[in-house]
Amino acid sequence: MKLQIILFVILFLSLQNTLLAKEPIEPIPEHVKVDARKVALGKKLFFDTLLSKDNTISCASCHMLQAGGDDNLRVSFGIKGQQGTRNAPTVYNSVFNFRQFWDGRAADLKEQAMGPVENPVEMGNSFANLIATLQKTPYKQEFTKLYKDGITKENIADAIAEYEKTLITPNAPFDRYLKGDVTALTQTQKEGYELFKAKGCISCHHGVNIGGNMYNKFGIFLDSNSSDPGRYNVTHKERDKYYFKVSSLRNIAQTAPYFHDGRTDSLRIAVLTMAKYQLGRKITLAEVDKIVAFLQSLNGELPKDIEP
Amino acid sequence: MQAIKRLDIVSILLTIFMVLLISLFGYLYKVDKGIQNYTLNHDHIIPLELIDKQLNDFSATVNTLSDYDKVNQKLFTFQKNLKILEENLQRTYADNVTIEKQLRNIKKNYENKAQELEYFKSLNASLISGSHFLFDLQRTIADDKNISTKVKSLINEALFYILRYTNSSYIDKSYVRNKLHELKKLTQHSKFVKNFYKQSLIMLDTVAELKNSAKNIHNSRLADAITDLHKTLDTKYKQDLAIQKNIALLFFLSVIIMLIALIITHIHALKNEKELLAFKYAVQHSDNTIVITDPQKKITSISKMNC
Repeated sequence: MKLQIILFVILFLSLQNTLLAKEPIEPIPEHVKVDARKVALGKKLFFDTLLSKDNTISCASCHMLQAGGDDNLRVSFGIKGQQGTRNAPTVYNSVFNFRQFWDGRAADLKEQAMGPVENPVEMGNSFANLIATLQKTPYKQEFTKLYKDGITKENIADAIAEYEKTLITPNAPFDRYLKGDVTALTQTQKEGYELFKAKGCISCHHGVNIGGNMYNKFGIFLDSNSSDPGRYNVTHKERDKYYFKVSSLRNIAQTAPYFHDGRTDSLRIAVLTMAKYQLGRKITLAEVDKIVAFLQSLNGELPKDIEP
Repeated sequence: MQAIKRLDIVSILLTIFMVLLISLFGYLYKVDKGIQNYTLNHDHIIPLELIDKQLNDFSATVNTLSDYDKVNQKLFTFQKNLKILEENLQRTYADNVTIEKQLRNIKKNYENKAQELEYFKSLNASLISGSHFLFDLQRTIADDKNISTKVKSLINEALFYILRYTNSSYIDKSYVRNKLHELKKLTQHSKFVKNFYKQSLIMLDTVAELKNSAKNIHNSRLADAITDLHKTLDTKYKQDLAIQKNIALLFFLSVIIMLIALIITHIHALKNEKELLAFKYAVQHSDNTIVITDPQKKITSISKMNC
């Protein structure tokens, strides 16, 4: 009995930070400071197929802004119908991610924007070729107005990154709830949020982007059968095998299929998968439904003017 | 030679004095730049030291749900400060091998520490999320009437020791593992007990790795690397200050010498003036007519008494 009392005191002390602290998720800011002229140029580039070698693929091909900011495919397709190896993550709110790409190989949006252009299975181009192409277009004048050195690899990435910074989705029902509007969530969604915290999902999915601020192993308690070693490809350290950037859960209901390999289209199965591999537990279907209801409250307002 | 002859000593002294003043002004500008550089370096090296300590503090928060956005912000601020510091040092001490080496050392240690922090974040999150299930299982087992008191007691004891092992260094991992082995023999009694045993083993390994990661963060040589650079910059600044003091003293002495030279010249001029006045008086009051001519014998002056 004495041991039980001590145990409960320790248990309470261990969890008190989780139980008594302020909410571990913060609302998305409504604005991000950007250079409007660079944004305009970046937007043009984002939608322009000139970036790809055969003029067929633009950033928007894999990041469809009307469809959750991804391509809704298991893995993406590049030039000549080539299939990629990973699921395209949403571009929305990516400015709040601590690293870019599933394996975190890009430190920021600018570095990320340089990747697909030269990836042979994505845009298959080279910056030397792209710069030469853009020099023959009105882009030349636009770049000269904004950048002293005109069209360069750095400046192309900078403009695209500047545009991507504006692709944020504030005022989701859950954000409004966090700001004090208790009617913004349904009772089921509120219960889902409590379960989300109580089951331990919150330990990886927290902060402003509800994820996107750390790496974790896909398959902590069970082997997740991932053929992709994840971050190991970047660091070549054994301990980084199957480590991926924890995804943001913002707009998650709109960004199926899920996981780096797009293994499921169902958000319910995605929640069950997480419980199984990451938490090492089973959860009831009723609990899954409540958590899914909570996840649906994370759909924010799309930015204005997202048409090409 | 003719030109130099035409220059009187006062003009030379005044010219040297002007040159000294201009040099002094230029030197003061250089001193001011040095102070600005030192302040800039100082303002960016102090945050590095502070953030490093904060990261160490973060590694002590085992099994605590922390806001990783804030940790990432600290890492970002560290990188930003290091970049500014590096640019400034490359500009100021372009050929200094020691500073270059120390900067490289900071970068290398920072990268190692940042990687270890990422690992710590992952393990800590896994531990927290796994703990929830372990606590749930313990509650379920406690409420299960089909499980014996002996098993329940062993479960409580095992959980107690896992938590103690998580939060202190007084309990050895092997001790907790032995407790879990006692439990293993009883896992056939219930699937909950079996789950508890399996989950506990994984948690135990996670805690061990997490503690090891925290230790690596704490033992990082980053603080030493920053301190080394800080000391080098302080030493260089002190050396510069000593040189500046000597140069200032040199300027002071030069000015004093110039001043003495000017005073001597002035005294000499006063003496000459006095003699000239006496000569003038003598000429003007002379009974004879005194005519002064130029080399062409043209009269340039004549004593007044005869005018």
